[in-house]
Amino acid sequence: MLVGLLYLFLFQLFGHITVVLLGIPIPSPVMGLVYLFGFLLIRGHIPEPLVKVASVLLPLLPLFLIPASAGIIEHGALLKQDGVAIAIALMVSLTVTILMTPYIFSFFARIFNNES
Amino acid sequence: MNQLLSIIINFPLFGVLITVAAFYLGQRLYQKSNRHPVLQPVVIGMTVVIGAVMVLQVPYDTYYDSSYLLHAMLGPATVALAIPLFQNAKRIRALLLPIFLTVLAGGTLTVSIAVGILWIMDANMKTLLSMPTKSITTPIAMIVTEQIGGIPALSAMFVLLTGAVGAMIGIPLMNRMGIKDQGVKGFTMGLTAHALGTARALEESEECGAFSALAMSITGVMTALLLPFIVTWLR
Repeated sequence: MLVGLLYLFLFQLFGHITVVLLGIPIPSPVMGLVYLFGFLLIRGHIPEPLVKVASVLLPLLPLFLIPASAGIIEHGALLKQDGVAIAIALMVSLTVTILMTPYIFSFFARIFNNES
Repeated sequence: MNQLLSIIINFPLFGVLITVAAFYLGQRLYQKSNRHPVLQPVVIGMTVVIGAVMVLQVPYDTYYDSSYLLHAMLGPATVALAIPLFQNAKRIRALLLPIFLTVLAGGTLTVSIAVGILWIMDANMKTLLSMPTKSITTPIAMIVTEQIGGIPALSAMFVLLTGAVGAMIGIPLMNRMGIKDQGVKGFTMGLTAHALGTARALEESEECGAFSALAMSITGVMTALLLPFIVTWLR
């Protein structure tokens, strides 16, 4: 568990160093995720400490989201003002994407299959 | 009584305490409801926290500061998402290129429609900037929204709504369209409705769930990598 946590902290730090030094607008944890993914691709398997830490940490992810999510109480006015636009935007974009994605996927899958 | 209350509120771990308690309550209720998508532990937990904070008249900043310990873990937990991504990518290696392209096209489509509608309806800029992460997994959505200058809490709400509705209407809609391929179905669920869609896809079949998890991971990471550049470029 401890070694697993160290892995995660270090990869986040590598991500942080990268985005700060290069001045790129990607969040450090996402950069850390990409690095860890690359590391796993090179290793070809997941080291045991990481398996352990993931099994503890990932089920708790929703817990870590609550402090920032509760911040919605500060934005009641915005929700009231944009509520209708938000509802329409969410529903229309979701429905259209569900209807279109199967065709987009089949399209690309066919092109790719024909090539190979 | 008032003194006791003020001692409790000023307890350095006050925020952590009520958040963990609220989340635990959320998990119990979620299990009791047979995992109803609207009753996600994070939704119940958030509602209970908001209720407690309002009843006790605690300013949000006070709560946030004393729950920062939990918030700080969001970073390493996001890094850990590389692990399921790796597991899923390994499973479906052959289709990786079409999957990649579909995520790009589908993701662009859904974000353009949503942001376009907000734009036409003259919504606030903060609302607009909190919208593009609506169909990716919540931790990445909140972190990216913070990066591009939106409101993380608002983006979390959009993500939860999208996921809940997507999980409910996705499979019935595709059944009606006559789509039978489990991979295609799962893929669409993961791209549009992230973790909640994946949970629903798993109920269909193992294959459906695997495709959904993969689509969800790739959509999340690609959005996080591309969106900040697009927003910077547009400004």
